[in-house]
Amino acid sequence: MIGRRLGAISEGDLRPFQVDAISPSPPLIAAYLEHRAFLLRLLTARTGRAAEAEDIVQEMYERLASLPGGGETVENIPAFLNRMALNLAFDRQRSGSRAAARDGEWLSANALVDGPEPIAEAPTAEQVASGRQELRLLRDAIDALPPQGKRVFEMHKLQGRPHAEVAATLGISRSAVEKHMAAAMKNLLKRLGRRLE
Amino acid sequence: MVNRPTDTPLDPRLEQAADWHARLQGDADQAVWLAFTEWLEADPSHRRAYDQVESLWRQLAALPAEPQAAIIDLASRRKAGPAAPANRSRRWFLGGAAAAAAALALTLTGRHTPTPLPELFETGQGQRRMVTLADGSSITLNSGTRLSVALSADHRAVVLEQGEALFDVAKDAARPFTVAAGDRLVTVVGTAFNVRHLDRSVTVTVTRGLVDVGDPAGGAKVRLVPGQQISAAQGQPPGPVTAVDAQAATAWAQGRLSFDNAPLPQVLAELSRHYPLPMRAEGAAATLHFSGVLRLDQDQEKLLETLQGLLPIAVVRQGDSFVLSKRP
Repeated sequence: MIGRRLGAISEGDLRPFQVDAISPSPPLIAAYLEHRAFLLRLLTARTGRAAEAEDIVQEMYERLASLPGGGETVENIPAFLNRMALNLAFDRQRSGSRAAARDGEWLSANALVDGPEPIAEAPTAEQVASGRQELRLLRDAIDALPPQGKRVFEMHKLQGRPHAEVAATLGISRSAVEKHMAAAMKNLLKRLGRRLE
Repeated sequence: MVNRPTDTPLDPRLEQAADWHARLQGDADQAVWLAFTEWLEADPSHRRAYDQVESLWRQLAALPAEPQAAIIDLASRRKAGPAAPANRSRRWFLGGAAAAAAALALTLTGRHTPTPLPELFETGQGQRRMVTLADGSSITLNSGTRLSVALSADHRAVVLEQGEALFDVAKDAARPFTVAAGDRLVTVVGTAFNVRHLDRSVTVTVTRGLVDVGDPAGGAKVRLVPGQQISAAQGQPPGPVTAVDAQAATAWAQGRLSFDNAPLPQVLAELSRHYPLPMRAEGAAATLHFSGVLRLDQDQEKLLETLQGLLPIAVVRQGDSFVLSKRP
């Protein structure tokens, strides 16, 4: 979450040529403009529709422009923009309406920067019932993960700690964290019987 | 669709989607994102596979967290001491950062303070960077350094995973500032000091104030005053306290490296941390000593020219490294 970055109020590189490089527009907007062509390609690939990709890229601009602080505290800006694009794409696809996507879920777009995201929308009673059953299944599936995989999964997904922190705490590499996370997700997909239609 | 236990193997496209998803959650650079885009473009079913993974991911957000379970678990295992299974406790003691983090977590949970989410700072090869924390303290990261910072109401905790950093700590007696590096724990109130954590060894140098160096378990501490330094290899007791030129030891933060009659291989090892290509001394050049201050804001060729002007050496580029030999 962006709020997590607030510990650092300022930072600068000691190299003189970088100290002087103060960008005229907020860094996120500048990076967005530079990165726009790639965002369009990524979103076209993700949604399968060029027009939808255009809409999302435009929506990103509006959100970024209204972001307080101009994103000075975001560390890896291209990755931040890419994640935001994927989150918006998913939110819009699921909600099926532009209005719903616009209103509730900016937080979840942000949260993916380095942690878990809040649940995006209030479910119906029916969804709650079948959701509860599925959550129990998921809980069982997580409990059945191998010990280290379970530890990694819980720290990253359930406690919201970034990969780097999980790696540091457990004394393993970041790529090991990625592997544990991928293996855990495969395990859950398999146990839930998910398949491609 | 859901409740269907299965022994059939997972669709390989779902496996790939899970792999991509995990990579993108890590610190993926733009090349990874491009490769991911190409994978999506390769087949329309890849998009649907990724939908499945992302939808499961979102669903998992509804699962309640078991806060800090893993860490409390580790800490209590440590408290169990010899009763803990041997393989587990070994892994535990090897993980220096883990040890430190767990020890801190133990203190924090004991005081019923929510553990703050640490913030990670990193520098690449040849990069230096200064960060100012919300409490007014500043940390200067040397080349190739990774550290995390967690500020809470009653504690300021840094874990120096790797590399070297110069700390200038704002005075706040109510919130001790600790730096965990390997199996060393440095505790201060308000002071300036340098911690170096490289090659499984930790060196602490004090430039201002008083610093206690101990271990996260609360074992014996050594108190350092300005101009003093102590080193400890991982798993070993620390060596003796030595007197050093603290200005020279922290000159890197001003973009300079200062050497006093240092063997050339040591000088080159130090310099190589700041430059893209490694440099080494060959033959008789390895017996040369160097005294002086080198500026790090020049590029590598220029630096080597400077060295050639100061020492009787010749420089040859061999593949991806520079080799220094003694001039006849």
